[in-house]
Amino acid sequence: MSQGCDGPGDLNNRQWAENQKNINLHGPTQLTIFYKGMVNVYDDMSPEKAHAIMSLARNEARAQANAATPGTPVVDVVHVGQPMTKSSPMSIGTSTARDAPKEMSSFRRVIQSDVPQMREASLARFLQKRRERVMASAPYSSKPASSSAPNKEDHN
Amino acid sequence: MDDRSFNNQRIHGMSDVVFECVLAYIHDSRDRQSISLVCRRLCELEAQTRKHVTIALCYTTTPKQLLRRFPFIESLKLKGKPRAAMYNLIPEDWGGFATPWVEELSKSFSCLKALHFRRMIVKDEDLELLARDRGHVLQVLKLDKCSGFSTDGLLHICSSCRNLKVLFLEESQVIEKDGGWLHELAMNNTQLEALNFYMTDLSQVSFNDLELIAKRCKSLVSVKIGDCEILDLVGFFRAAVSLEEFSGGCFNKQSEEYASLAYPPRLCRLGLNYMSTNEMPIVYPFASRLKKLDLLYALLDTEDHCVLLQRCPNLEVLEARNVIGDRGLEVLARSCKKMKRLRIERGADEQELEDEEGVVSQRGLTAIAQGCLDLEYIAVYVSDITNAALESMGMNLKNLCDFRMVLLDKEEVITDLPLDNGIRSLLSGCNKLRRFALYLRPGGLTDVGLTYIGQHSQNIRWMLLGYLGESDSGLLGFSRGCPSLQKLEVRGCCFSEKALAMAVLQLRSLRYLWVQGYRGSKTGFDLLTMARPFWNIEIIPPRKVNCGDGREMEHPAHILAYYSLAGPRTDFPPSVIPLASITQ
Repeated sequence: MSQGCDGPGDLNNRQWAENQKNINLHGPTQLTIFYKGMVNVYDDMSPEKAHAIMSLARNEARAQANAATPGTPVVDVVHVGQPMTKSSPMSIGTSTARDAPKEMSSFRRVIQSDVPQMREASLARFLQKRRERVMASAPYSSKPASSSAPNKEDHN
Repeated sequence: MDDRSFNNQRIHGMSDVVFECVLAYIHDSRDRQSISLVCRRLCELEAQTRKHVTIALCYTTTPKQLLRRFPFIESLKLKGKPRAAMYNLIPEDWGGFATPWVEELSKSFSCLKALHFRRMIVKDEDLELLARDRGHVLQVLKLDKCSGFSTDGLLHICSSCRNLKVLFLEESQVIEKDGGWLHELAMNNTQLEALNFYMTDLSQVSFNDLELIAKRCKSLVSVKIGDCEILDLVGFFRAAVSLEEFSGGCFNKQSEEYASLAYPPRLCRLGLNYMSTNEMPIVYPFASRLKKLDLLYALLDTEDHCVLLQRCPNLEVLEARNVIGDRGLEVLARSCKKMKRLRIERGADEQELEDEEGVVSQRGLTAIAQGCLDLEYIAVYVSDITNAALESMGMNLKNLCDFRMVLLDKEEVITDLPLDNGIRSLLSGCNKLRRFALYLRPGGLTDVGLTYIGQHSQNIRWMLLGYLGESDSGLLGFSRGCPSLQKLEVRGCCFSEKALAMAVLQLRSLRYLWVQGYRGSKTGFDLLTMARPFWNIEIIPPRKVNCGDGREMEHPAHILAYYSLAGPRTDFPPSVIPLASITQ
């Protein structure tokens, strides 16, 4: 393993090894691909198909890593793993991040999408309070629902 | 060069007295800093006449150092926790303790009249000490997003500080035991101009005490409270004849009951918490007088925003959630030509709780760019964006000093990414920009775009980069520019430790760095590439945090690094690890 900064090729190599392990352990599952700001999700991807796609992308990535230009964008080939959870819709590689041992060397596993978008604290508290208010006030609340926002009182 | 004869204090042939008189008129801290570098005598004079100091991070210096340098300050602002604490990202026990400061301030700073703690941990004992030793002179106390104290501490302040003009507690986490502190304030104070316990959970306060304060304090201009039924404040509103600003309260009763509610006659800055459509007409009689409107915590939909804003031609400051929608922003652009500050926050994620029209995109931003030409500050959460919208802002908003944009991650496909060219146009067009935040997603800005930011940010002092760039070379290109950048926050980017360290060494004005989410090195010590004298480096390791609803969230590691004259911290909690720092 090289010291210091890992290039995109090395990162993908480690991802590749992890993915091979995961494919063998799990049945048909979800494949997510990031490319130039677009997220594509494929459900019920068979391990063989996923293997083929990642193999293609990996060869592509390796060819680009070997090329002279350092800044060429590389496809972020993503882990085959758990389906995306609602809490972090853009999260990738969550399985790998959690499995890493909790010491300084676990930092290497941090990948950018593991940082969820957060809300300002007072606003988060207000939205929580409002959720509780809406759930507490029944459809027959004292406030008549305005026609332009019929959903305000109906939500349960 | 200064005249070194000790018996005759002259600088450039002029007596000290001349400079002392002139210095009284110079208030900008950067100008004063320049003056203090001219010669030793001017440094002394400047220090003796300095009225206000802001310490951007309390660990950059010590109370004794402050005393030595500026012994006669009348006003001090101290900040503690990193800004990310406002987004619940920083452990509560991280630090920023007010105690050592309060001890020295109470003992030695005889001229101190105004104190502002922001994002710090303040204890009741600190407030008691302050009240005892400075109570007779303290005029301004701001505990701004602080924690660690209770209403007992406030009771000390309100009993002893009879000359208090400003009591500001906004967003502080206060342990509430009773409402006695407000009662003490009502009984003891006739000088109060501003009272603020907005966004605290202080609910045991009595509206009778509020009314008493309004009656006794003739100069009461600004009041922002927590949740309290608005109808209970009728007496308060009647008494507060000088009131210009009010926020807080809530509308829990039947809409009809509010029909006869009369706000004070000079009210022009208003926050309408929990107000819904049917109560809006209360505001119409004086809507044209409104200069500032806070709708962040209102229960209005897109149409409501349109109807209301159309009636506010003199509006200068607006805060709202993105339920305002593109349509609301179009109305704003048409009706409110005096807009200076616009903040659009992120509303609820669940579609049922917000209007489906409640999204902001390039359409709304373009309207604002073309309609609100005096805009100085814009902070906005968008669901979609184009380069053209940013170009329009660059072309039209020549007074913009502060630009912050977050691209929400709800939509899968964004109309026009990457934003390289739009950002370049924005930055080169808005050359007064001092503060800049851009938070996108992978593919949102390439390495070229990140380099553009570096090249076109001559005056920018603070930046937040979120999910920008593609690789280390983008960061390195960025860090070759940004000549004025003092404070940098980086979140969710893919940069390695080594690149971050090298960037720090290249950014010539940088004195503070915060990072969350990065590619760690095998040993974790690549960061030491940036080790140097007076540069503290701290790590908050990855941790699991309870989300409150039973779930646990993984919080990736943070890096915090800053220049300090105080050496490494001596009060690290378990959640923060210092990297070896090299001091002189």
